Amino acid sequence: MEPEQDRFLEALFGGYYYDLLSYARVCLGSSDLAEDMVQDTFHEATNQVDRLLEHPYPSRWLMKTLKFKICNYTRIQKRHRKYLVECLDLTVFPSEESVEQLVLMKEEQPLFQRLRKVLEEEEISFLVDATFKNYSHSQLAEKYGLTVWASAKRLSRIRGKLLVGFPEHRQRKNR
Amino acid sequence: MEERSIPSKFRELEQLDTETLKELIRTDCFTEDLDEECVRYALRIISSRERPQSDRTQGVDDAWRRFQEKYCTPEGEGQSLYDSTPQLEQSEEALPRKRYYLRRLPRKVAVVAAVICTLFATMLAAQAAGIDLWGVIVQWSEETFRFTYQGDNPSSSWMEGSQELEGMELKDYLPAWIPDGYMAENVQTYETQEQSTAIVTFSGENLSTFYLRADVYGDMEQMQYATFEKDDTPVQEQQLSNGGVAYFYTNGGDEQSVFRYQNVICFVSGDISEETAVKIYESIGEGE
Repeated sequence: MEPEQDRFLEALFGGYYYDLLSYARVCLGSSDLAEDMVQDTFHEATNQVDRLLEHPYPSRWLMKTLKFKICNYTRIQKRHRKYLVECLDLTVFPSEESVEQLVLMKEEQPLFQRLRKVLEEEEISFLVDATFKNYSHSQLAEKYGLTVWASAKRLSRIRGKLLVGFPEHRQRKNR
Repeated sequence: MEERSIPSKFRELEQLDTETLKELIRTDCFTEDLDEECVRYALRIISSRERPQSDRTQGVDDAWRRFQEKYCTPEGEGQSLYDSTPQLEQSEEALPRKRYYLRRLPRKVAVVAAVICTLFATMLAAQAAGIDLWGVIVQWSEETFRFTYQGDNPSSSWMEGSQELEGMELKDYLPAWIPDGYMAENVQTYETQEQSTAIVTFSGENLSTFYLRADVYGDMEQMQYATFEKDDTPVQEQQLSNGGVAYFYTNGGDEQSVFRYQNVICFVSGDISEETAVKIYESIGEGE
């Protein structure tokens, strides 16, 4: 990156990091997720720094980008949680505290056994952390010894395997 | 960051309790855009109540360091951790497509196909003369995508036990071509009353895994109960050289594709380009 672009981004970061972080914390209810999403917003700004240099209101661009990320995450996460609940044949969405116990209780059941054929044990743990415990990629990266980018790729791959392995839940049947 | 006095038009924000201010922020995020300045001052008030001013400068420096070390790395170039829908002035640009070097077909697919044929022999349908068996149209809305059967109502005579089943074999619904270097690592099969499903996992050394799923419908009417979730971007339709139709759409930002060939719906999923998916779909039915 050019020095001018670097200085611009650093100034943007310094000026708006806390406002964006506060906003994300309120909307997401999690400091870790908020930090992850704000950092990703600034990362996206590095991908579009040329455009932002010309933009009349870069702070608005930042806020809008963050809002989109939060809304998309919330919507998609809800869908993934519902999907995993159906795959595990749970009757309720587990809370962060109860999820380990519930998953353990399901260990002997056919659907969980089927899940074990589709996913490795660590992949199940990864998926549960991401979906029921709402771990950020930073948290997942730290726990599983990855970079945040590797964490994102792993989650995408695991979810792809799940969609293929549980086709009856992928397709909603309208009767 | 220095304290600024709050404009008089927002003084009332100071009278609200913190939870109400937070609700205002959530409304701005999830429901409707509120006045930008109002949101900014609400955030300032929340921050001043919850976090002391003296932490901020050090906090920003630490955050900037984390940004450089963890997020702004070559591995993440051009990527995003979380999806953001099109920005303010962005037009509908295609996402960069991943490219794979395409080479020839390995032979293991034929072995896999033979195994599946045995398992699915009872689900294959006879093609009765004079009936439009493939009168299927596709419908999609902003949220879902589905096939609707428009032909004559297929009767149970398709599956009469005493009649020897003729017609297409399942191997004809599996691809005759997959990218070079891949092998069929695993085959899973399921049967329900409406359909039989085969899921084949393809993998290769230093290659990303991809999956092919084929749903074979014994009863064309059942195909219309299959509904696929999508987001509000349009579905792209492509007629293929084997007479089938491929549909490309996104769901939650993830690119998906569906291929319909007679009474079979196929999906290819995984880290695979659209080009490669098309080549795979086009090779389905080559064994007829």
